[in-house]
Amino acid sequence: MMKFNDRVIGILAILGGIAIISGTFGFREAPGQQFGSGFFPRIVGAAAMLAGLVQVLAARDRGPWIRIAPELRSRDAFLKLGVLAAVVFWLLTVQMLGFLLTTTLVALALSVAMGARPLPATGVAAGLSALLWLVFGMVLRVPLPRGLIEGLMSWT
Amino acid sequence: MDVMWEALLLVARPDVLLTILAASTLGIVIGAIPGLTAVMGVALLVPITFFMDPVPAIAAIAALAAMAIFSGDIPGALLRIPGTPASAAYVDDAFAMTRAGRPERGLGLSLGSALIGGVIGVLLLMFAAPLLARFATNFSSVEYFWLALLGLSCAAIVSTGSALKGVLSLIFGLFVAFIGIDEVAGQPRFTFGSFELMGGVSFIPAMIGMFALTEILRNATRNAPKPEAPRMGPVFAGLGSTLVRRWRNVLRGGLTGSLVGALPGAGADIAAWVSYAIAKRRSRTPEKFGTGHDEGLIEAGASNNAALSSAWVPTLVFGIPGDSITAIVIGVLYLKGLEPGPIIFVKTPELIYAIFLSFLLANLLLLPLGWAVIRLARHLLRVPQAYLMPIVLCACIVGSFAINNSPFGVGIMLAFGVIGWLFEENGIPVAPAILGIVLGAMLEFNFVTSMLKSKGDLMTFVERPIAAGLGLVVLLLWAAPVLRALRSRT
Repeated sequence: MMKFNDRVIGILAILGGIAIISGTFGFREAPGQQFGSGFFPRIVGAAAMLAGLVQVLAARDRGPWIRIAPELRSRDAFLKLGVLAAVVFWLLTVQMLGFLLTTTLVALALSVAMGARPLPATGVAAGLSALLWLVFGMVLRVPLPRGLIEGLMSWT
Repeated sequence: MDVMWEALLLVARPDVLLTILAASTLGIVIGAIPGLTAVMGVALLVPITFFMDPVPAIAAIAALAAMAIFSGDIPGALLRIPGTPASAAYVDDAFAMTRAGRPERGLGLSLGSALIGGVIGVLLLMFAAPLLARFATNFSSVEYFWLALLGLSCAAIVSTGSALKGVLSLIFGLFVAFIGIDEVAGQPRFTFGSFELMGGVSFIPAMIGMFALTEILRNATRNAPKPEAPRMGPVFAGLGSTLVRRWRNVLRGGLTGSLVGALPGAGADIAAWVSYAIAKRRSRTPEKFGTGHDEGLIEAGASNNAALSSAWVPTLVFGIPGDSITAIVIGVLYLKGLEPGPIIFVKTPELIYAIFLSFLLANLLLLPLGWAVIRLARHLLRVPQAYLMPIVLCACIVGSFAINNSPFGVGIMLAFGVIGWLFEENGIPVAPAILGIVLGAMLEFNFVTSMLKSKGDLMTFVERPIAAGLGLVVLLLWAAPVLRALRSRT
């Protein structure tokens, strides 16, 4: 599918280790303590660099740096990106549109993108968000973001 | 005995029993649907249990997991797609029985062995956990430091696939554990100036991302195969006599599974593979394995359910998770104000026994619910992915939101979903990262506490006999792969 070369994974680990260690230098020392806040992160950073180095040296993978399988170059790749985009969309619009509408839109879009027919998909999406709203919003009293539809309902 | 009675009263309440029944039904359906795993079910259930009392909350998780691990065998047997990774070991045998026109035979054997294996695991849990807890009451931060290190080492070494990639996964988990304010020194670490990250990475949204969003990403495809499941015969016909004839496999599978499950970091998947291998080695007809033979199926089927229960031994006694599911449980226990460790065995033993009883109950419920789901399997397998995946996605979103009532949790879920997917695509196991997140904080806290107590004298880690013993075990674990590499070279 989307596979990095084993060497690339090793290099990423080394860079990650360097980043962790360099991130610890801003920590202030705790008085009277030999092993401050930076002690464990530095060990883990060093371990990341070491494990990354072994990974680079031991890699027998002579392929390209990143391999993307043919099925990922097709529409499925857009579908996977679409799943992530749907979550981002939910995050960006939920405060404005409210939980019910946003969740319905997200479920509907993914259903249709995966090949469901629009009419039944709309029913399932609306029913699903109503059910989640009932369970989490009403029974469990989670303050789900309110918007258009919720505003209408409290009015009546 | 009073404790047992109190525990029984805690479980025998209508709300608790209903919760167990509902969670079991949910679990058995989740396991039977390809693409929905036991861990995913648990991760998505947690936001709901968050609002329950401790006993029904933990009982719901235990029941859901036990059911899902069994019913993961169903798509494996009927379509050769294991519903959960723990069913993968014997999928060829079960599928061969289906192709021979006897799907109910493989599923019946799975059900019977899962039931017996599960009960063996629970009995071991009931017996071993309180004994270990009594032993562990005089552990100090030094012993807990070694135990956490032992858990981390096992997680990396025992994980499936390349050990080096297991280590990388573990390191990632440890790094995530550092994020937030360092409790001892009050120093914010790796928060990137974010106020929301000061309290650390919220664990449950991260788990939902790693186990549920990842699964959606893998299953998001337009050309999913349309499965055609065969008709079922009577499930229980001839089942009892086969299980009696294969009693050795059932028993050995249950015991092996219990032992493997109790190791930190090794869960039901590994138990099933180990037991399948043992069954093959001990069999008089090893050549029949993989062609629809019952021995491996029975032994591994008993083993994975046993492992599921015994994984709770280190979880409840030491706070060291046995597998990914119990890692999530530890998160839940902390949320409920129940710090896992020997203390809860002393302070609230009735709570622990209530958890054990609900475990036993869940395993017994396997029989009626398992039978029902086998009869209904044809229909469950035909639920279209185009409706299923949006349902799971919305459950992920609302569950991640509900833990902190904040959209930030949804962001965490998204980030960890992408990371988990990249891990899986590249053969990096996810389980060590989870254990790293849980155990990283415990390791550091106990190290720093021990150092403060001993005024910086490192000898404190080997002064007490149990601590020294645990340290030796850790060293041996680390030395083993190196020695093996050296020996293979000469």
